[in-house]
Amino acid sequence: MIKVTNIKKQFQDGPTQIEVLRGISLVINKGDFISIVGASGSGKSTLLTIIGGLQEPSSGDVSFSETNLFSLSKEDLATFRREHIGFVFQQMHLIPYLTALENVLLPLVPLKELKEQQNEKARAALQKVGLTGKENRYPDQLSGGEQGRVALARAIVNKPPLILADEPTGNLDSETGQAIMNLFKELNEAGQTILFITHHKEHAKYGNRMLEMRDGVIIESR
Amino acid sequence: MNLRSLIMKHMWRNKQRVAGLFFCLVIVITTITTLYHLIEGMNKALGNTFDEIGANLLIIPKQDELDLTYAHLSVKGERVSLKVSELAKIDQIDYRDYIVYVSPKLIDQVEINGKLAGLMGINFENEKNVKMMIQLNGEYPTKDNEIMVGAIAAADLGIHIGDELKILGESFRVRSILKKQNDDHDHFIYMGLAKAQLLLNRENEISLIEVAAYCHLCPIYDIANQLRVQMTNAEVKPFMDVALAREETLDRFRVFFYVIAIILLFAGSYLLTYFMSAYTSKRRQEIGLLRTIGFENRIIEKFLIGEALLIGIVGGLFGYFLGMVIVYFSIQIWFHESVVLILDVQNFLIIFGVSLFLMVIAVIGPLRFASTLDPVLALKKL
Repeated sequence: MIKVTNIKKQFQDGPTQIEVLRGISLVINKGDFISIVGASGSGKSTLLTIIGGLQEPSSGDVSFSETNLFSLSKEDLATFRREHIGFVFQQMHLIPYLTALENVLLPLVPLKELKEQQNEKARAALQKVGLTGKENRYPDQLSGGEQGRVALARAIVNKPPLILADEPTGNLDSETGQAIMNLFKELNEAGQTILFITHHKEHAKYGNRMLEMRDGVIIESR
Repeated sequence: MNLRSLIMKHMWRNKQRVAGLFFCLVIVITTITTLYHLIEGMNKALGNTFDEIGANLLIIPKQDELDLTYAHLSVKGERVSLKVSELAKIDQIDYRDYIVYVSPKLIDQVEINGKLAGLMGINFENEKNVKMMIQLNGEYPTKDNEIMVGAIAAADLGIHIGDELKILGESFRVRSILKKQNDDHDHFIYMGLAKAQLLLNRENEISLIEVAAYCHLCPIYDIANQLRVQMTNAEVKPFMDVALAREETLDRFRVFFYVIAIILLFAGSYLLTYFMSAYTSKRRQEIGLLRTIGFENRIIEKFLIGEALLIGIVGGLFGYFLGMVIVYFSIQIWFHESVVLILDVQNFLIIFGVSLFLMVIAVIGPLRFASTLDPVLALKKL
């Protein structure tokens, strides 16, 4: 269980203090498939990066089971992210000089696993997203949808308990976006916890819970 | 895939930027290698030349007033000489270990075919070593009845290699003629010291002793002083003017090298740091992604240091090799005997260490950049 307690986040913009998150509390249970919707600037991405341990809140806590994320050192937090959280971004962030397989292998590099073991995991992840046969293609040889699948495979290769996705279909056409959402759904049905941000109302319906944010607070949860 | 293969893939993909860093490093290392080896080679060559000049100490009898000269000593008029027993005193000084060769000589004047000529009794084996630069036609004499003749003396007497020459009633065969030296050596007839002593009826006498000390920064004044204490009836003359001139020349070369090397190291370090920082800055999204997906700082540090050291290793090796090739061809084309090619493992290791050091300095900024990079901001930039 992931518990988000009274998260606040302020940014200083010159003399002005901007309050991006204003006391958000949330519980994410194992197997949840949660969509977050809301207008730009409502604080969705900030909330996601705080839950992912990429930035610290101004106040409040995020705890994974018994672990309070922000009591960890920077190094331990990085290790924790690698073991517990998979990230998918709108822009995919694939490394252009690595093949699809190598991009998926990236989170395994810090682990001291045998090459065969690593490859087996990465191939299995690629197979799960339907990219068998395209392991050796470079990102620029893949379509937008395929790149999205590679990014998803990279997020799940370590089998993290939680996947955080920030507008994973934002740059894709509707058909490809839908295919990616179907993949998320399949993963969730297999027991994967997923929290994703979307601007598409249709895609938001894939989740079993939907949170709507406005001005740094959750205004609706259903 | 491991960190090493990730580094290799990254470098291969970014080969233009890596090549920029590599060539910057190679220029610095090649220039340092070339300058260092040319100057040290020059140093060694000058040292060799100095050693080849032969004696750096001359021991002569006191009160000499003669006018046929050899090494500031005249041989006409009143004959003053040293006893052979004086030689043993050289072995009694504290700095005897510095002394490489002791070359006693007997000098006199003889009449040959109605002409006066200088005659010198020497130890040919010693001379060969002390005066390595002296070139001759023919071979060094090995028998008592063989002689070597200076170029001008040979011309004056009209003699050639293989000729027989009568000296004080005894017949000698000319075994070799010295090439012209443009110094005192040109005027003498040389024969074995023992034979000369017998022929001249001056057994147990020597006119002077040339002493060669191992003279790479040897304490020549101290050696001379110790010899003076031991040999009270002799005058000991160190040839320090030559030694001092040599040291001054070398010092100037060294200062020149150090100034250039320091400028190069600073300029090279600045450029490498600049290029490395610019290169890393362009990789902010990639570093941001690695941090996001759980690369600890220490792994990213290993990644950056690994790249820098790889460039340092290859650049260092290539720069050193290129520098040595330039030194080799510079010697062949321009410097010839004035520079000696030095191949020394220690020099190589030092220069190689400089290469690695430059890359370590260059990677400090990028390491700081990577460790403080906010992954959220870095990914937003993409």
